[in-house]
Amino acid sequence: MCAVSQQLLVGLGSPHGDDRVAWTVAEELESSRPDWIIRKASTAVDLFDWLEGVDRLIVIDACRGAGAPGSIVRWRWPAVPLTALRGAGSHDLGLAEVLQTATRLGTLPSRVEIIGIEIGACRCGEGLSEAAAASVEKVVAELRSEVGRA
Amino acid sequence: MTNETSTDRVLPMEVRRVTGRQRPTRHGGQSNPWAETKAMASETRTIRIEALARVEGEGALDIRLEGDRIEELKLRIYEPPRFFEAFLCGRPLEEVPDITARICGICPVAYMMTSVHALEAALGVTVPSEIRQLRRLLYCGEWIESHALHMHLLHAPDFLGYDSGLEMARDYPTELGRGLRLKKHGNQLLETLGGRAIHPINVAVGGFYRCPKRDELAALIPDFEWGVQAAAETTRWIAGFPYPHFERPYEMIALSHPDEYPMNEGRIVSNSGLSLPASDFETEFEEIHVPHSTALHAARRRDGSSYLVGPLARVTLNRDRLSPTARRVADEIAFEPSCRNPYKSLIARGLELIHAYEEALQILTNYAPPRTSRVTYKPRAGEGAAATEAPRGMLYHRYRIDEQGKIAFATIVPPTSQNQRQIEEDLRHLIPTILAETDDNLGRQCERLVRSYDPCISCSTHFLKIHIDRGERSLDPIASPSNVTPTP
Repeated sequence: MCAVSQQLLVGLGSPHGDDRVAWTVAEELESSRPDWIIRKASTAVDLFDWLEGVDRLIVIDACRGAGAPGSIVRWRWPAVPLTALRGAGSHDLGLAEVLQTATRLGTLPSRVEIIGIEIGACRCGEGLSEAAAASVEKVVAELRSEVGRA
Repeated sequence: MTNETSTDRVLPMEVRRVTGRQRPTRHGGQSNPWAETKAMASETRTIRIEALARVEGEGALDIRLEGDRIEELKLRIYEPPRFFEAFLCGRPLEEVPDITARICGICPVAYMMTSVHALEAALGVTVPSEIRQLRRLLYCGEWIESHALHMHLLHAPDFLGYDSGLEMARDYPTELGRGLRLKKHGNQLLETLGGRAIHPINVAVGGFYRCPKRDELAALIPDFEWGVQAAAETTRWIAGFPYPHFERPYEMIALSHPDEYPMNEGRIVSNSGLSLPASDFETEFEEIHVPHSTALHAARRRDGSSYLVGPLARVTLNRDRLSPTARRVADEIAFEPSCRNPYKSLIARGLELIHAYEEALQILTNYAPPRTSRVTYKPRAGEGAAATEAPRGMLYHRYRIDEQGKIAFATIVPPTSQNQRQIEEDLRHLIPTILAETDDNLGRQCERLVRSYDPCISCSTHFLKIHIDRGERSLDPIASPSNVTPTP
């Protein structure tokens, strides 16, 4: 008999424009993936608090530089072109720094995937653009249909 | 979070020389001060550190040196002004705690607490002791997450020779892992009591929207029992770091309460004999606009002098009211009763970390849900002011409310704004002692001193850039006074 694997999905973002794309994915999956722990965060540092006992981590994040708005990229850590990214300040460590630190502390799950969604504008008070909303549907549909990918 | 790879995020430092001879860049090690100083007198150099790591917010440090003389030194905060005080006006008073919480993601509780106390003063509302205890508990959570993060990930690397917490993790996994666990407990407490860890949503004028059940808080007790001991271990560890010999004759300012370590209330006191009600803050302190900062400076009204707020001032002025374990550790590590070394703010944070855990544990253990979660009130015209102790130091708010219960006037004086002038003065005294250092090292040492303040530039108006000019080259254009947040 196999132990049930613990899967954590974290949407990184904010309420502003396309930057809420990862939060929207997390919100859409909350009801359809009760077998996963689903969280929303505004900073990658929060990941440190949630990794205990997790076997698989999926991070959804808005990104720029991956192509046209709405483009979706999926990486398996550590083969991710994120090593040059840093946080904007002391209280905002970048995703790569957090994952690297967790690796050195031995707390990073054995399987880590990052899904990046290329975004457009992130203006305060605005909703998702059509391109970002379409990407949400694709990512949600894909994650919803996954079976036993521990 | 948007991962933008703009160059100002990834360029940590640029060293550029205008004229003069080239010197090798060093990372650590000892220089020959006599040789370096002699060379410097005929040298013109410009150093630009594009992003000061491990501080919060966007600002710059401009240093202009002529030989061994500091011609100009400015902590130049250029983060766009955020106009919180202006857009609070006309809003219902009930919205103020949640709006001001958005000033900072690290210390939102400080803004919420100070605003509710000031508004309650205006409304003539007094909260029962049970609510007061829960407010202290919430503040303990914020001190724990803020102090643990700063101590382990941001400041400890300076003393151990690393550029980041990430680098330190390789050699100090136990200590860093402990620090992250401590921070996690702070966040868990905020989530349980505040509704969520970042920007809590449960603070109301008059109390809380909902008080937690006994079991919800009791579940945290085992972690907090561990945390008291872990915080003590952390403080013993950091007390053994090599601290620079640098002391300043600070006027230290903090709240002080006869029966408790200051968080939510107390008189404003100083080591120079000052003692006044918190509501009288503006009679002794004033905000001053300086052209190079979008954040207002604060100074003593009597003579424009600087002063120090934060953990070092709090511990110095309130040591006998620290929790028993914190006092015991302070004595054990022989922490000086009137320490004037800004770098040792790190140790003061450690003592406060112990205190916050121990006080939180006591409240958690004795908790019984109050019969009512908040005091009701009728909006009325009035004015009220309050100060509380944010993790980085004293925070002051004053509000005027109109007959409809809407904000007619607001002023907010954050701790980092108050420390700005002191940071500049500290640097003026530090730089002459390190002029022999290479530009690279001089910049690093200035950054390190600034970090000892754990400045939150986002609060005061977000990156610090350091610009050292050792020659006659003019400085970058300064912030336009028209960009400054107006304070009525």
